[in-house]
This record gives sequence, C-alpha cells and structure tokens, in this order.
Amino acid sequence: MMILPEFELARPRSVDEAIGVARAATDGFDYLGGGTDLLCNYKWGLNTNPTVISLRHIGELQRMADGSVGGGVTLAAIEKDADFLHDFPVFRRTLDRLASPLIRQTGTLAGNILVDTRCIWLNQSLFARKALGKCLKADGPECRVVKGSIDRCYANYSGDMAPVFMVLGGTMRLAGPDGERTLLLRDFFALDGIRRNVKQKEEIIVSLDLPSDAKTLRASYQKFRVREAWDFPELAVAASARMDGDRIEELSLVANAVASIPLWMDEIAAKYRGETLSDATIDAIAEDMRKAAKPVKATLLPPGYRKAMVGVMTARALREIRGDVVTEKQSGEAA
Amino acid sequence: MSKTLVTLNVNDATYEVAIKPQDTLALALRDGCGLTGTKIGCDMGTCGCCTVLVDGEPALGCLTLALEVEGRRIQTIEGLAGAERLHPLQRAFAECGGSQCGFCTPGFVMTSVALLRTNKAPSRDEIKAAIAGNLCRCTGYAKIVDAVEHAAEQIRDEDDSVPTPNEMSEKPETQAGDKDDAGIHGRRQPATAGR
Ligand SMILES: Cc1cc2nc3c(=O)[nH]c(=O)nc-3n(C[C@H](O)[C@H](O)[C@H](O)COP(=O)(O)OP(=O)(O)OC[C@H]3O[C@@H](n4cnc5c(N)ncnc54)[C@H](O)[C@@H]3O)c2cc1C
Ligand code: SF4
Ligand code: FES
Ligand code: FES
Repeated sequence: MMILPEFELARPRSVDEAIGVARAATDGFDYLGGGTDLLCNYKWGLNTNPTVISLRHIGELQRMADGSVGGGVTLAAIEKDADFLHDFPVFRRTLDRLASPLIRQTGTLAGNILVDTRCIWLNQSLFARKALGKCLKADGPECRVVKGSIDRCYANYSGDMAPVFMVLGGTMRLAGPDGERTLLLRDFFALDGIRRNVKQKEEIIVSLDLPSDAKTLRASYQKFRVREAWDFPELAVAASARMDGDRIEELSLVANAVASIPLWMDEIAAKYRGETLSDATIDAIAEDMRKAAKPVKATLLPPGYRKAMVGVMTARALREIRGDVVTEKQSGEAA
Repeated sequence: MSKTLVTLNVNDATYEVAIKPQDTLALALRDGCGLTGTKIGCDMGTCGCCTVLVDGEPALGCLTLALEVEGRRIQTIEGLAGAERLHPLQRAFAECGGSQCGFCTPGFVMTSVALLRTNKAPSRDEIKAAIAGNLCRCTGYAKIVDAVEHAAEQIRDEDDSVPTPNEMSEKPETQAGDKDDAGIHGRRQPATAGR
C-alpha cells in the first residue's frame, strides 16, 4: 500500500475562502482538485505540504456554459456535455484518449492543465528514488536527465487538455490575493519543469474560456502513447486552422510532451499562413515541427524516436484538418 | 494529525468512522467499515481494483479522500447482491469465467454496474472502453467482456434493471464493520441512523 503523508485538509466553500486559507498556510499548502495527480505525487513523497485545500466544494469552479469551463469541472463532465462537444469536436477524441474513464471521472480541467511534469527519475517511490539517487526536482542537487543542470528541470509536460485549448485561442481566468486576471493560455507556461508556469502559488484557476470564433476553427489533437487503454502522452501535436477553401487563413500549432511545457510553435505556423494545404505543405510543416522538437530522455521512449514521431503526428493532425480520414495506424507511414 | 469522527453512508447503512484527513476512501471502507470487498491494488489510480460508486458514479477509492465523500451515497461490492441472489453482473462473472483469482473482480463489477446503468446494450467496444481503467492479470479480458455482455443480456431479458437506490436496501445485513479496534475505528449504525 502507498501511504499518504499526514496533512490537514481544508474544505472551503468559495474561491475567496480558499485563497484566505492558502495565505494563512505559511508552512506550505497545495490545492486539491480531483486528486488524481496530487495524491499520487504525495504517495511518492514528492514535494508534499502540511495543508491540502480541497477545491471540490466550490460551486463557482463547477460552471460550464458556452465555451467557458470551470476549473473544477471534471473531465467526465466535459465528455458528457453534448453542446460543448458539438461546438468543439476536437475534445471528443482528446478526452477519449486522456487517462482512463475512472481517472476522468474525478480529474478536473484545472488539475489537468497543472498536472505536474513527469520524469522517469522522479515518478518513482521514495524507496526507488533513494536507490537511484534523488534529483533537482525533489531534494537532489542536480538533474539526472541533463547531467550538470543545477537550475533547470527537464521533466516532461504531460497534460492533454492545454495544447488543445491553446490552439483554439483559449484564455485562463485566475483568482488570487490581488484579485482576478485573465491571460492567454499560450502565455501561461514557463520553460522549467519545476516552475512550470506563471501562476502565483495562491492563485486558483477559475475557468478556461474559448472565444466564440473558435467554433469555426478546424482542430486536431494527435497523441502518441505506449498503451492504448490509458497512458500519458510520449508526445502529441495539437493544430488548428481556419481554411479559405484549401488555403490556410489561420494556423496554430503546439508540440506537446516533448518539453517541460506545451510548445507554442508560432514561427512555424506563421510561415505557412496563406499557403495551400497540399501534401507538400503538410510534409514541410511536419519536417519543421520535427526539427523544432528537442525531447530529452525523461520518458520511456528514446528521444530520437519521439522527435521523429512529432513529424508523423503533425502530418496526421493537418490531414485530419484537411478532411482526410485519419486513423491511428496509417499504412506506409514512418513510425 | 488527529482523527475525526465522520459518518459514511455505505450501501444504505451509516458507519461512524474515525479517520485522519489523509485516509483514502478505500482505506476507510476496508479498515473503518470492515468492508474488505473493495480491494487496494496499485493504490495509484492505475488498476481500478478500488472502484466504488459515489452517488452512482464510479470513483477510485485509492485517490478519493474519505473526508471528501462524507454525506455522499457510497456503494461497494457488498451492497450489490439481493437477499436471495447475486446481482446479474456477479452471476455473469462467475458463469463466464470472468473471475479467476478474483482480486480485480469487485472493481470490474462496480465499473460495469455504472456502465449498464447508462447503457443497457453496450457493444463489445463500448464495454472495452468503459473498463479501460481496470486491470486484470489473470483472465485476458475476453471473458470479462463476455461477462458484461452476458449480464447486459440477462438484465434486458429479465427486464430487471441494475438495482436502483431503493432496490439496494434488499441486500443482506452486512456483518463486517462492527469492529472498533481497527486502525481506523468504525462502527456500523442501523440503516436509518444519522439520516
Ligand atoms: C493512471 C493515470 C493516468 C493518467 N493519464 C493521463 C493522461 O493520459 N493525460 C493527462 O493529461 N493526464 C493524465 N493523468 C494525470 C491526471 O490524472 C489528470 O491530468 C487529471 O486531469 C488531473 O486533475 P485532478 O483534478 O485530479 O488534479 P489534482 O491532482 O487535484 O491537481 C493537480 C495539480 O493542479 C492543482 N490544482 C487543481 N485544481 C486547481 C485549481 N482550480 N486552481 C489551482 N490549482 C489547481 C493542484 O494543486 C495540483 O498541483 C493520469 C493520472 C493517472 C493516475
Ligand atoms: S528532468 Fe532532471 S530534475 Fe527534472 S525530474 Fe527528471 S531528473 Fe529530476
Ligand atoms: S488500487 Fe486504486 S486504482 Fe489501483
Ligand atoms: S481475476 Fe486475477 S487479476 Fe483479474
């Protein structure tokens, strides 16, 4: 059995109350959504805190309407919302391949956006980590993946929802001690496996919001994982486009799970706006994405293979956007 | 951390259980209520052995804090059978060879209860999708899918739905849970107490 460390559990009823509890918890705290990530990390003894503040009893985090999804809405609830899936069909496939149905039942959207970065040296029991040697992210002096790194962790971002919200132009509403702020999700992440994002510790994700014109975008999320039943992404690509016939009017690309954050590939996307979405263009974009992705050995599969698959997944995403029938196993594809 | 006395509503009976904030629901059910039908396998959300229903929806007992479900309606494998007969899913698992060592079975059955409640005639692919979070090291899954399919047929044939909350109360009296000397202290109350 995996033992949870001792902590006090607070169950506030409002966002303001939760922030108040957080400010008073001077010895350290964590917010708890569905707990499917945090409690696993606590059981591994990773960066635990003496106070856990549950956000599950806060009604204002559970709202879902017209492209706005509360931070506390479960992934299963999103999956069941026919209107949302009608407006943004890309989430159907994204959710279907995200964790298991049992995890989706309690895992929340905010918890998914903030899912901790993962690494083969880190996501181990305390016993295993003691034997292997600890690392920078949890009580060790340096990174084991990029040896010699004493100030940056290269653990892999493994959340599946953020890249899709990013390519759809999603914004995030945060509430904190200084009030509320809204920012584009693409500006939320910070390239370090420990820091991970620009959220202040006490800030709570109130909602993620999609602009109404996102409904007219075509989008695709292509995830590569080892086990089909459920698994974290070894790499993934999210893409969205607004097409004018076969011409790309707008294009957004994210390479996911090949760095400590989902990578917003704006330079590559900008290069191809205005082009025809031909096979040649798709191959060129895929090659640019492949070159730009620089995974390290923080996950199961070899980095070289994951890099190559970024190109394959980019091509699949763009073909799906073009309207081709895309299955997970394409014949004749490099894999 | 000090323990708190909480009331858990399990299988339509109330249990007073002394728990610590960090105790999971799986632990509280097993050690506090004495309901050891809910298994703890990986304890990390990966195997589904600990699946119970909370307000009718499947939940992983190993990643749910017991304090979080105080006052909610919890159903475990012990609450499934009627006084005289097993639930169709339990019968089907036995008849189809869907259970070998049996360790994963309570989790599979509870996940399948939730599935058949919303989908009375699932296809084999729908069954596979629904049980994707439950792992079995013995059966190879085919017989589990057979069992769920068979149970769905039985339920349809008998025109007998998966027990509704009221039907659940025809279950046999549970003897477990009366111990109060466990790591987590639990005491079972009459079904009406505390409500
Ligand atoms: C077996 C297994 C498989 C998984 N597979 C996948 C997968 O394929 N893809 C994937 O993306 N994830 C996967 N996960 C990870 C995780 O379960 C999901 O990402 C889930 O959505 C996390 O949500 P949660 O509410 O449970 O998060 P929690 O564990 O509750 O929280 C995660 C983090 O978010 C913070 N947090 C939660 N809510 C808020 C809020 N409103 N405001 C501020 N901070 C908040 C917490 O403090 C914590 O730091 C898997 C997990 C398991 C156990
Ligand atoms: S990338 Fe390096 S610092 Fe980060 S978790 Fe892995 S070994 Fe630790
Ligand atoms: S024991 Fe809960 S999922 Fe394995
Ligand atoms: S019957 Fe043994 S693990 Fe499933």
